[in-house]
Amino acid sequence: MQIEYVKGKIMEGRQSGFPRQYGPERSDHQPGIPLFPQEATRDLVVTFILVAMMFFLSAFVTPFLGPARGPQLSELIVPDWYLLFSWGLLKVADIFPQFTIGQGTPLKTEFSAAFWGDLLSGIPVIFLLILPFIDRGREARPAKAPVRSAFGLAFLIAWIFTSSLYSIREVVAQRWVSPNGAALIPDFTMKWFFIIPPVLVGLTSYIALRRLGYQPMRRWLVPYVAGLAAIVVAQSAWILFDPAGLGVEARPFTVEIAIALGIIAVPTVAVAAAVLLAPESTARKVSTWAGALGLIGFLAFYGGVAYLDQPRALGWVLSVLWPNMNTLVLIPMFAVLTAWLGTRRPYSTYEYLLNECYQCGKCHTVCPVTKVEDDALGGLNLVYNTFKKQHDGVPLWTCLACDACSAVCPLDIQYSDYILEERAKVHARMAADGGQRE
Amino acid sequence: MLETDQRQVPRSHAEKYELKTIWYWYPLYCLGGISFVAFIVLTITGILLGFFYVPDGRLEIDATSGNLTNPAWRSMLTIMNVIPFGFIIRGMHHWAAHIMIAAVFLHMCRVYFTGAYKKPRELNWLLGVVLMLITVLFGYSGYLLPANALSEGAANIGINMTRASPAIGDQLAILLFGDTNTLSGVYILRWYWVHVFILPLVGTGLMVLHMGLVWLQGVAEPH
Amino acid sequence: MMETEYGPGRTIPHPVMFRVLDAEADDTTIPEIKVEHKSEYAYYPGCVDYYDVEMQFSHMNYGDTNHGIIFDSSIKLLRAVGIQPMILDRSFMKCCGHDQLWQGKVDIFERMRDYNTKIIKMLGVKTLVTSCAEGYRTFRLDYKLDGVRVVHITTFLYERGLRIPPQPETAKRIRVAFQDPCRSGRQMPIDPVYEEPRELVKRVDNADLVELKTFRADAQCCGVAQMMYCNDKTKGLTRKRMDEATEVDADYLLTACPKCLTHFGCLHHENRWQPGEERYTYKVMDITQFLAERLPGDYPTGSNVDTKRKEPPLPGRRG
Repeated sequence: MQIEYVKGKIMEGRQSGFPRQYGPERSDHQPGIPLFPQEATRDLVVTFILVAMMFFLSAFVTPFLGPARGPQLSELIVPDWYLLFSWGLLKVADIFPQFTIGQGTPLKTEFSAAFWGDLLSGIPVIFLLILPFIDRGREARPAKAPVRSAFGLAFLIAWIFTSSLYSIREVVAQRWVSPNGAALIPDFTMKWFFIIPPVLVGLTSYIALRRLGYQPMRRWLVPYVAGLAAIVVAQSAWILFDPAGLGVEARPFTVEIAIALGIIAVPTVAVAAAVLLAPESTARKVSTWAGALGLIGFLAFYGGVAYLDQPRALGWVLSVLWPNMNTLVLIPMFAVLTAWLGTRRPYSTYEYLLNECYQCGKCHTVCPVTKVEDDALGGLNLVYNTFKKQHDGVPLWTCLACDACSAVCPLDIQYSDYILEERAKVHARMAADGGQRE
Repeated sequence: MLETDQRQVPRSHAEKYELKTIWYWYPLYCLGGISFVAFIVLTITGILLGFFYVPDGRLEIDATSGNLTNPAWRSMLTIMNVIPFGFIIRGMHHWAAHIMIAAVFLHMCRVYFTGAYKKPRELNWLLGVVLMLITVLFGYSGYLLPANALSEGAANIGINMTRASPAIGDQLAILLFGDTNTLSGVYILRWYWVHVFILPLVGTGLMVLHMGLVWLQGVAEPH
Repeated sequence: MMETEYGPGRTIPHPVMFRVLDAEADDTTIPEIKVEHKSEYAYYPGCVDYYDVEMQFSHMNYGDTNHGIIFDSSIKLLRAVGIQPMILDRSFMKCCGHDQLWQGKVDIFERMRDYNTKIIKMLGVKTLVTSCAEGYRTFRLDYKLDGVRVVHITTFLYERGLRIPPQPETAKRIRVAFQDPCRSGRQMPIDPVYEEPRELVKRVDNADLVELKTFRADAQCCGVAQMMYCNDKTKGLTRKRMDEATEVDADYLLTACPKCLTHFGCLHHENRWQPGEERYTYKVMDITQFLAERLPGDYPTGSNVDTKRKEPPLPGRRG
């Protein structure tokens, strides 16, 4: 028979059945790379590339030396980037109350700014050390552990990014000034950077990651986005309508400021309304458009005011926006971004759930059908065949749906549910094609 | 590909099933190796620099120009200007240090986000955190040594932070920096010893342990 | 019908029987329902009669596997614990639809389900007792029977404290093995049935419960599911399972599902053994029959067992 001949040619020199990956009967001797000479060569090449890059940098970018040390403090000293976070924490520690306890005793402890700074720098280390003991879950993948990922991102923003930024607050204050000489991003705003961006990043990433897992996130999304929109509207309204909102010098530029606030607030409110009132697909489209148009609008406004109007106007507009950067720049951005991320189409169900499989092979080992069948081209492992997109074929219909595989699966994947779904789909296809109703 | 029945790296999920994945995921798993390569470079360049560096930070007045100087800083000038290729070796040492710290930090982030610190790898994670601290201390002690204005400022910050510790602050500052202020310059000798002996010894030992644990336990692959 | 490269032995679904059962789904008019006793306890025998017929007319075995006796035994056992169940028989109920669902014929299943659910609600059933593991799973998980408690007969008997009187002293000790059906065991995320049948077997004082090589949640399937195929591969699996019973020297192999009984019985009464090939020497029966035999009293024996036959017939006999 022709089919026998073809099968014979395919199976020439190969074992039948699904390769066994573990144990003494291992049959899948996978081509790995021996250490010598292949892996050694590969590593050597990568190392040489790295060292070559270092040579290049050293030859063309000489590290700074400068004058010798001396008791006079020269201009602003900036430590290397990896210690900026600690320096920033030292500086921000001046918000904490300073006092001394145990004055006059040997255990005198002075809660100075430096001490608070030490404590703050020590918190990440303590957290890192106890981390494996407080997180005992099994889930490794970042997308499936949204709390850990969100918390980690928020932590990074707060303790690394913002504190490094804060450590150069004097430089920032000197470089960016408003037309009346005040700092564009005052100290107060920079201190709020420790709270607002981390919280925003944490909540947004949590919502986005949960959404990947086919969870409807409306219960989180609506209060979050609506709340952020309310903050933006409240802040804009206060700036425009409260007499203390705009400084005297910024008064003449109220129109431009109002336009800027409008460009910021309108997309945010539109997105919040869409999330609250419209179905998900509409909300998704609204947030995409709102984000794109808001960004383009803001850039157009920026360019327009800078080049068509007097440049001083731009300075005054920024002097209103930048001190309120948390509420007028970051919050609108995150509101729109979160609405978009939280209304994305989820993955299809069974493909996504089956993706959890990490091919431990236990299901294949216990499946009774595999003990009596051998398939020429790879075996009757259902997961394997799913990934090869061979749904409709021998594996699907030979399955006994006895769930022996589900019983041993460490990830608790229910294969019989998958079988049910797929078989029903085949029949639906047959019926749709006008086939005989079985 | 040669067939072998020695212990070998199994094909990953993506490779085995020929899945379309983002291939640039995998360089994130090279960060540990990159930091180790950088450490080797640092060791070699450090040994070479050590032939010429003088760990003496005591203030002197230069006879000819009347400027403030010190032997450590002068040895740096020698390395940069006199020693053949000295500036490249110093440059390599400087940049390899930045690369190592960046690689270690990103490696830690990768391990955190992929949950590779979970059972049974808690010990390895603790070793890694300690190594991260050691690496940062390496960097810190490193830029204290050239005895320039940055060293002075950094030493001042360090001394102030140490002195802020309750009860033992001043003694701790004297232990670590040699004095409660930077005037005498004795901190340079202290941190030189930390930089070239204590930290390399402890660091190398812990690195070997860390990599040995990875060898035994396997790389925690994501899915 | 699928033509696969493996030949006609693997066509699905099993032609005649399933066409008959599926055709039932078309007719949704509810006939006049006459039940002997109305009670809040209902017993659903399922398609046991169909399998009797199937076994008789099958050319694979000599047709002695007795399914109808499951019905009789269950009634006897329920009466022994003081229940006169309302019998939901096939004059007004349809097939539960399990096989159709698992073969992918979801619309047929849904029609059967809606029909059966309507009748169950109409009759005011509070407890639905089945002697079939597939029926247990289907009624419990795939039907939405709110307010009705679905229970397998072994669980029900255990809860009601069925007592088996002491056996006569001349009775030998018998080794009894139990096949855990997949549908009532590991496929049930809630209320799986593992211990109750074992407890009931232990109450028979001359019975020693022996465990097969794989049991409880690891029990190997009986070899065929959803009546999808019947070929050398499925026979191979059934044989593997029955070999496990030989290995533990069982005298009885009990099942809690008429389907398992079908497949074990088919191989046990295999019509194609060559002369000289070893048959299985132990008895295969449903657990309800086993228990009911050990209760005092009579009940009509099954219809298609030839009580006069002492030896298996020669191979090749058509049932």
